[in-house]
Amino acid sequence: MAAQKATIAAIRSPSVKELSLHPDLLSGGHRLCAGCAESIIVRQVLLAAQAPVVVINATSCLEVATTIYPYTAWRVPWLHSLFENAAATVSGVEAAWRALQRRGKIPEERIAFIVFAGDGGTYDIGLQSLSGALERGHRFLYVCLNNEAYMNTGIQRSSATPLGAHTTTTPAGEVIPGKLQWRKDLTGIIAAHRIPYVAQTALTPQPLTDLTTKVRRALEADGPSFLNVYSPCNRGWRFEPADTIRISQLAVETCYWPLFEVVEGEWRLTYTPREKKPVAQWLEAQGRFRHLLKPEHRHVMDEIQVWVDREWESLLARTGRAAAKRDEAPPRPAPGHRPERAEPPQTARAAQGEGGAARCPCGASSPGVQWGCLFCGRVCCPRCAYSPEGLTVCARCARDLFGIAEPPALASAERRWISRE
Amino acid sequence: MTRVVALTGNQAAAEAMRQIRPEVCAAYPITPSTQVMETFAQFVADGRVDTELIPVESEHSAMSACVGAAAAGARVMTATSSQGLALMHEVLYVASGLRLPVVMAVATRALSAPINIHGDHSDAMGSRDAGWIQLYAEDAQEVYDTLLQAVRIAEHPQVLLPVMVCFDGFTTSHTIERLVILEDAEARAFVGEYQPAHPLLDLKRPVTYGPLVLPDYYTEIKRQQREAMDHAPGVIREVGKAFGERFGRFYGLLEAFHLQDAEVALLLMGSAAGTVKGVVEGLRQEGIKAGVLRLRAFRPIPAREVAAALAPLKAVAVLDRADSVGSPGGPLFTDLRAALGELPVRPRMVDYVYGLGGRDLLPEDVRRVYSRLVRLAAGEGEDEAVCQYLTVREAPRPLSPVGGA
Ligand SMILES: Cc1ncc(C[n+]2csc(CCOP(=O)(O)OP(=O)(O)O)c2C)c(N)n1
Ligand code: SF4
Ligand SMILES: [Mg+2]
Repeated sequence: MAAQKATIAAIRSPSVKELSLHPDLLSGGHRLCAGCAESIIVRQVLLAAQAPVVVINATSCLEVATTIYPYTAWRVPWLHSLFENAAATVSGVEAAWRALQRRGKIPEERIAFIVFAGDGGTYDIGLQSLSGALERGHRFLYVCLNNEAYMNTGIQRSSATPLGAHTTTTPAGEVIPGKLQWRKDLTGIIAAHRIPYVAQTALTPQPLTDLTTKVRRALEADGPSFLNVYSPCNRGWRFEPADTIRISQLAVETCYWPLFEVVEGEWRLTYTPREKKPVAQWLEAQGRFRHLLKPEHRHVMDEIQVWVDREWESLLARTGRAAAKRDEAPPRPAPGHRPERAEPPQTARAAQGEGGAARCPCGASSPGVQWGCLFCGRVCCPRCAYSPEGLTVCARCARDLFGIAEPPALASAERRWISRE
Repeated sequence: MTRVVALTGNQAAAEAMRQIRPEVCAAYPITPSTQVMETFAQFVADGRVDTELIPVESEHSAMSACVGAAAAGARVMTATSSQGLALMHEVLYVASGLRLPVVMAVATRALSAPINIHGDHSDAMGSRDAGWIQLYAEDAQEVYDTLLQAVRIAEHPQVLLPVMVCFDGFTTSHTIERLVILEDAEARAFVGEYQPAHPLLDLKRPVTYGPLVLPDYYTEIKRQQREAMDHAPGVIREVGKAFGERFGRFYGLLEAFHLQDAEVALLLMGSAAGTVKGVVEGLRQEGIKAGVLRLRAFRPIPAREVAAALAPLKAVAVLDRADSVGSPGGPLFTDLRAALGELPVRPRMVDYVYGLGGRDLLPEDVRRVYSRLVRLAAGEGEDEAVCQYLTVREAPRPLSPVGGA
């Protein structure tokens, strides 16, 4: 085992330049959003893999956007079955591969079996299936594309969603400031299965080949391996599509998403930020935390910082960089807990213009009238709003949730709106 | 060369699986089918078969692993019952939708709640629309014979659909019976080798399995599934005939017993046929023209054959070993009505729900049904409900407001 550990640790990814010479196994023309991290991650994983690859995909953004029949973006064998069963499915594929080789029905050659699943398919509904497959020891690499919510179904919370984030099932409202719970430590849970290789990684310029190096190491492991890959989603997190990499790097520099690996049980940091940045920098870059900027919700930001510090310190201890401290958990909300009503009520305030008038992104303003979207709480004037059954839904939510085309007045205002968040 | 052995239905299933030598089996224990995988696991442990056994952590994962292995290009088998089949439900549709010829032994059992481990057909009926072929065996011999045939049926290029071989929990799964077992080589030669058309593991020809299909193509894909199922009756008959020619036991879509000149008959599936046949022998000696029609294939339902066999009769009773609460009768009854619906002259048709949660079906219960049929055949006024429970702690009363047959 020690030999195996040393061998794995010695593996390095080729340079990006060298990787770029490999054929691209995920073609362009798929329907993932512009700026989506998922296709970048998948292409890097496929570029780094040396053995021929067979992909198993759980139901998710990646799956639906890359295989709209009769087209496919995949140049490798690819199988999708359901949302929660990717790990069980790969168990069957891998067992078949062994059995067919033994009977001489397929050539004896190594195949890299790689699962791609979202955080929902991994942290939540697929956890049992994954745990079972890890315990049985099938040889496959499981890549969790962690965008911290159910994006394919329109941004609902998962147990990977951080405290305070707005999702459509944990909406930021006048009383409740987004999700009330911290995220689950899934990477730790996976490491507790004592599989040969577990790592957390992200698309970062610094270090540039963290992801590809970890893919190489994972595929070298003699048994199951797992990568939790941070996967910014501009639609769900509300940032400019061009900022995907910047957000990733911020998550790493704030130690919200540390880069580390667990090789045969030994925890190792693979990158230490020179200076740990305040988590607020990362929070402020994303519209999903916008409501936390309000004075009455600022304490949530502080709580997030506490969680991040605590997890970072415990990681430092686990990796032998610091003495272990008593691990005191910040208070957790009891199920059904409702925070005190935040004062003053906030629907349209954040978007108020200088004169104190609520202002719709189209420019219309109306002093004294509070127009608020039912879903996101943003201001939207009656002209731009979609009003099914007398409800007010802002143009953007109408587009995202109901597929209603937005009024032209908004199209030009849209960019302004996003950048204001 | 054959061997005569004493085995339970479950052991017979395991024996067939050993001879079939699937490349992969993924399974999870549940009464009354547990013994299938236990026996098979021992075969693997003793080196008597080289199957990759995946002892998964749930039936959902069992069927998921079967789907993965079958897509990879392997021959795949499993077994389950009751809650296990219910937990697989979602994945059953993936197996049939991806046209994967998985073969599964189902020792049928009641569904919770209330929890009950004994036999009835509620579990299998719950998955009757999942796109699987469903064959029902009467006894251990048929479990064995049908599993061997099921592999050929499932893998037939015109079919390529998964098959469930259903047999009654405990009555068949746990009763030790005498049966004839083929030589391994004979069994293997009959089953043949599986040649998957588009295996996932063919690295030279990468395939995309399970894409997103929108309204522009979904209907055509479902239609192809129906066409495959339409081919199944011919293939089931052909394989049953080939089996008979080789080994002397012939199989078709249904089995008729004393039906030639019958005036009244029962339509049923599974082990109850044994009891009913015994009663019919007795009735025949009393001069009553009674017969039995036992369905072997429930999906696809051999509607034309059933209609042809029952058209000349005066009265028919269906024995349904599952209820379909809220419908005009049990699932077999509603299918029978549909099958006979086109006939210009139909026999009177009534339905009895029996044997729920393992309740015994006794010869006197069966006699009671036949005597009602005789009254109906004589054109005597109908005084009872069309659908009712046979043997229940209450006076018989209508199960539904639907009127007489
Ligand atoms: C059993 C089941 N429940 C719910 C769904 C609906 N569903 C499909 S994808 C999805 C969310 C996917 O989220 P995640 O795994 O995080 O992937 P992402 O789309 O965010 O990349 C949900 C809820 C489903 N397909 N199957
Ligand atoms: S919604 Fe998010 S995760 Fe899904 S394709 Fe768009 S950017 Fe990617
Ligand atoms: Mg997600």
